[in-house]
Amino acid sequence: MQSKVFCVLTLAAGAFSLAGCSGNNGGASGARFTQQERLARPIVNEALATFANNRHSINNRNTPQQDGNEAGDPASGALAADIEAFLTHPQHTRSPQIRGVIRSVLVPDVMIADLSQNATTADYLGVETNGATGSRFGGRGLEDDVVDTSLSIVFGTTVSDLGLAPADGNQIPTLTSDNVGPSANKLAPFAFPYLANPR
Amino acid sequence: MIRPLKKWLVAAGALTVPAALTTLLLNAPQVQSSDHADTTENVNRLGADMTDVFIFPNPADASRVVLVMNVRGLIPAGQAGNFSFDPDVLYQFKIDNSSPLDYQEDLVIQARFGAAGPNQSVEISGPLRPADFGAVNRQLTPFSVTGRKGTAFSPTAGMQVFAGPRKDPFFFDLERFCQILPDRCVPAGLATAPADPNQAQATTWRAPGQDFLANLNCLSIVVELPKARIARSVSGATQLGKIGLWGTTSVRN
Repeated sequence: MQSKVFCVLTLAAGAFSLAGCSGNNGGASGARFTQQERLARPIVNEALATFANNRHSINNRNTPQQDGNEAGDPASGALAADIEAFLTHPQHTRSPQIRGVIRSVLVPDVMIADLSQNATTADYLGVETNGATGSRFGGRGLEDDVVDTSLSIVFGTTVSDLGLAPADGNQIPTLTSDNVGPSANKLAPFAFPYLANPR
Repeated sequence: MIRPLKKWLVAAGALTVPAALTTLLLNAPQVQSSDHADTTENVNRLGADMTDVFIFPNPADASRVVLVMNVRGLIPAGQAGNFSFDPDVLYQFKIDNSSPLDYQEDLVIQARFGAAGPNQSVEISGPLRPADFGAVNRQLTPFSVTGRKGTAFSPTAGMQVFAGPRKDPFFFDLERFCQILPDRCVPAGLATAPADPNQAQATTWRAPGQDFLANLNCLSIVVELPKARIARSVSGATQLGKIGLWGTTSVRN
């Protein structure tokens, strides 16, 4: 009751903040917040977009719909163009077919999870690869080695191994793993909140 | 390549630029100031620097799902209690549950925080349809039940929330990464910009690699709730299917 009275008085005074009113009814406060960072899949913007030319920052401020990959022009859009630039670099170029698969998987930069799966584990890119990386729930688990998964897609033979495009012979095997895995001392507890206590 | 580059950046400095590392890790106990950022903006506002997003099922109950957002990484061991979320940042999980996915948020779960300090308050809103779509947003009315940093609470029936310091679960050889693609480590001042930003300066990782995050912490927002709460609803019926998830941090104008 007290909080409702406070809420009414706050509104009457012309303030916009509804914090403290009983809540979660969809009303919005007056203050506006401008996006500074956006993140979903771990490798995409951080590794494939350059800091040079402000590419990383621009993608951070964009929405997924601005990432590109429109039908008929798969390399258009901000993030799609960054990926194309990286994968056509003479030092580590990939075939058009492999580039197309990588773009179709990574653009837009959104983490995909399939809630219909009766799974109790997640596996990064599980939906996009139809279970090739593990659980078809997809998403991302705390111990998923997203670095090696991503490195293998960009520099390795993952795309051709999955039969999604012909091998192009341009893989760089020495770049497909950072040789770091989830250490035992970081294993997540089984119960909420799942992440380990701070050091 | 690899994820939130941010951490690595600063972290890499720990090995190569001790003075810079000291500044980045120790000189910003209460949000804003430096960071291990992937962009200049994040370097200047650590509290808005998101390092990871996760979504996974409850390992003991497949009907429930867990969303995790990590921010403000690279907190040194023994100092996690000195760090707070940024009160002027709106932290959001954005969820697309359209069929097919259209990559626009249909629901958001928001977190905002009170004044920095050991008893920092936590407000949760959602999952709800956002008041605004895209890159400029407002806070939705939060639940009346609020929490405190570092203590799990339930803002509404069926939902569990934790917001506070945790061991950073990410693992990566950041130092070597910065040697391979130094362009990505420029924002934190830990590398010199190469003439060609996409040119790898080395073409091998080291074996064994070194996990730069092994003894570092972050601030985590963990939300667990029934899958049905974030699934699409058609004529009042829940349809569990594919969703798209991304996280955003937004600074008050």
